[in-house]
Amino acid sequence: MAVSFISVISSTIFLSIFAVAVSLNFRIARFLNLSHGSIYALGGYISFFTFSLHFNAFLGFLTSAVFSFITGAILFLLVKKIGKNLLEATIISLGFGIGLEEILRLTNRTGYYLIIGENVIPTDLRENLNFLIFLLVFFFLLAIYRSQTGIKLKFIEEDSTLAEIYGVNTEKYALLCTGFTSSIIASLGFINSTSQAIFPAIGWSPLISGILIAAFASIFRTTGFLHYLRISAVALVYSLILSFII
Amino acid sequence: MNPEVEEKITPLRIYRKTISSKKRKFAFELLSLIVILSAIILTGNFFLIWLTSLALIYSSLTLSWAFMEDMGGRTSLGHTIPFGLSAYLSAILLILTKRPESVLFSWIAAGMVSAIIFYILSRIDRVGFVFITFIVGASAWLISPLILLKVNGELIGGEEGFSIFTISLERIYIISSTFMILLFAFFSLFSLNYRSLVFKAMRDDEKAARASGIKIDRLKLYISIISCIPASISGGLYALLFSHVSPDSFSIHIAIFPFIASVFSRDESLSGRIVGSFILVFISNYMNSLLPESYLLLYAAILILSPRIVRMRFFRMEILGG
Amino acid sequence: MLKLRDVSKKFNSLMVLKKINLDIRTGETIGIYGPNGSGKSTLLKILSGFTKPSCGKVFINDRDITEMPAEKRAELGIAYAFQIPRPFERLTVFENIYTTSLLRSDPEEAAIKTEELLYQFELSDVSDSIAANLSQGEMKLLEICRSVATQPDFLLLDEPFAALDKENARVIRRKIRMLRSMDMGIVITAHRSRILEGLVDRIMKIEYGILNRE
Ligand SMILES: Nc1ncnc2c1ncn2[C@@H]1O[C@H](COP(=O)(O)OP(=O)(O)OP(=O)(O)O)[C@@H](O)[C@H]1O
Ligand SMILES: [Mg+2]
Repeated sequence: MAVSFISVISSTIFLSIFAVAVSLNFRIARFLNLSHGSIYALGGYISFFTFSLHFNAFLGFLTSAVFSFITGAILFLLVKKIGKNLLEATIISLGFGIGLEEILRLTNRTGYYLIIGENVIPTDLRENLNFLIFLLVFFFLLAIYRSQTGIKLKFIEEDSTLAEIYGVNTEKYALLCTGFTSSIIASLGFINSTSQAIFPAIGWSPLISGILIAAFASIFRTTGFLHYLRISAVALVYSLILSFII
Repeated sequence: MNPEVEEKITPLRIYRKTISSKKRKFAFELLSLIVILSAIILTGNFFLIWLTSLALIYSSLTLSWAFMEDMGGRTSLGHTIPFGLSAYLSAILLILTKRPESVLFSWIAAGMVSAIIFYILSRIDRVGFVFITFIVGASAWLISPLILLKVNGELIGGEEGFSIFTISLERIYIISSTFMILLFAFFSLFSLNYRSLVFKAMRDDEKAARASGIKIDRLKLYISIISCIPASISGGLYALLFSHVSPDSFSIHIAIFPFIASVFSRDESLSGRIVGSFILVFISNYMNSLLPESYLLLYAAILILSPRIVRMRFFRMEILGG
Repeated sequence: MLKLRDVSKKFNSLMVLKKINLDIRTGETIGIYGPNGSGKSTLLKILSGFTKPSCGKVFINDRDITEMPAEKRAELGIAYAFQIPRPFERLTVFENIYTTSLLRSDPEEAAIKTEELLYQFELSDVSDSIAANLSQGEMKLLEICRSVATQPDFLLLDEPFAALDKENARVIRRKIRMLRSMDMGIVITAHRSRILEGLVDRIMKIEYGILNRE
């Protein structure tokens, strides 16, 4: 019982972060980012190379965060250039994700599954790192939503066209948001894929869970920081249900 | 003066003329299709026949998908639900019962179950529908490796999937080409029939359709059934062609296939969608021979550019008409 | 007779309609005017079934239809022409009307009726144009024409004159005159009373959620 309790908590933390990223992207950048799964895989691959080639772990982590930020930003620029609405943007992100996944697969042809081998990040440490990211993300959001920027973000969440009319630079926030959420997801991938076999489609499962959680949480129609707290609550319920089923 | 030459051009005449010219075009397309498909089997080229069978199965999936798009205005990214469900169900029943007839039952059963799922999902608005069908389809893909069977004390299924009996290539070719031709004929004739107008009206504007007294709930049910059953049969044929069923039949690349195959075809043109499916299958195969599975890069590129392409060829401005 | 009894409508905290009572007889034309946001569209949507009242009831020939959805009401003979035209965009003008006529008659009869209506509404020249490509005025005509094609007993026209130039407004006015001879109950909304003068049997004003006789 105790073991499953811990695993529920760690899965809640993991899925909360994922769902928060999905939701942030949807609310601020205005599309469902279906490339997040591939970004997670990207983090995993960078992690694989860092550990198997014995690079500095921290530098590897940083590379993954920066690289995925840039990738997210590129996606946003594509979306802005080609897509006209929520749906088109989402389809573009799906194409982008599939493309990224394929590039990962084609450039790493040693085998479909990559395994880091020894337990480079011990389970305890991994869960603490997840919790740390969780805290960082939530404190960051809390700080932002309490600042001037937060008012603008809330404005964008409620009505982005209106926000634009009132002079909020929605595009800047959307760009930063796509980059930032990609960074978070890649960090998750970097840390968590050390415990499992790494393959290009590794991110789909947490992505779908994240989307489901974010969708359930949005039923409550709250905006701002409160919404992201609700996501954690839903993630807890979701993890509980999963632990009973499986 | 010959009174027939002088006949007035009335709206009704114009309408009837358009319909009959469309019917001629359909007859021509049908005939060409039959000729081409017969020619292919006569070549006796095993690989060509195999690849054409695959393209035929994918075309059937695209046509079923297109019915939902053209008649319901609903873009589904989850047609892997009937497709994969039927593949899995038929394989499992075949293994358990060892009776080939069970295949027919599984095609219909999987189609009906999916139709109910789609009918429920179609109550959501159009944009939401795209998302939710994608999510349901992708969930099925993620869950499918958990399907295990115990046969003679041995666990089978999982990532590996199930193997079923092989049937001769000629037979599968004839079945899938007949099926595809029938689908093409049925959907084309349906679209030319006056009965399709209420569907198209609903597709264009559900509210305006209701204001005219069109019972859209019932139409959505019909659309779900008419689109899901053939998609389910396509999935069953897919399983027979490979003699194998794996989580692959729920995969995202099959889910997006009809969308990609239709991106280049003209609005509502079924023949265009068949050509699109064939081109996609043949190009994918060629790219595969250069670099395994590199065709997914092509899919990715088309997906990314799809809004542009759609805007170039439709008079409506956005995917889903905005 | 189409009746509203003590109908109120609230959007969140905003009271748009307050205890409205209204009787619409067949053969009678009613004009309702009021400023932007006074609830004209809301009133017609409650009559046509696109909005449910917060309280109060809707009757047709003494039958309670408050809970009946829009498509059923259309069958009972209530037609609604949207303020902003909503044509079946990818169908031709002919098909737009034909689709609606088909719901009431067999294919042959519907085709003839469609043609008649297209001539009546001066749309025969554009009959094979795709509806999305029509001009504003033509779309407005098509919207009204389509609602007439359901052969209604009650016709609800939501601001038929909005966003039209003088010429097109005159055409619509002529068409409404023509409809008046067809023994329907007609409700027309507008921004100002002037445009309704000489076109309707009685004029009512809606303001602050209250419907008053002129
Ligand atoms: N679905 C809705 N949700 C919330 N408020 C609504 C909704 N529909 C209408 N309203 C509000 O109800 C009020 C009346 O709207 P309505 O459209 O009936 O006015 P109207 O008289 O038709 O105005 P107009 O002349 O601009 O067409 C408006 O203040 C509007 O904001
Ligand atoms: Mg109005």
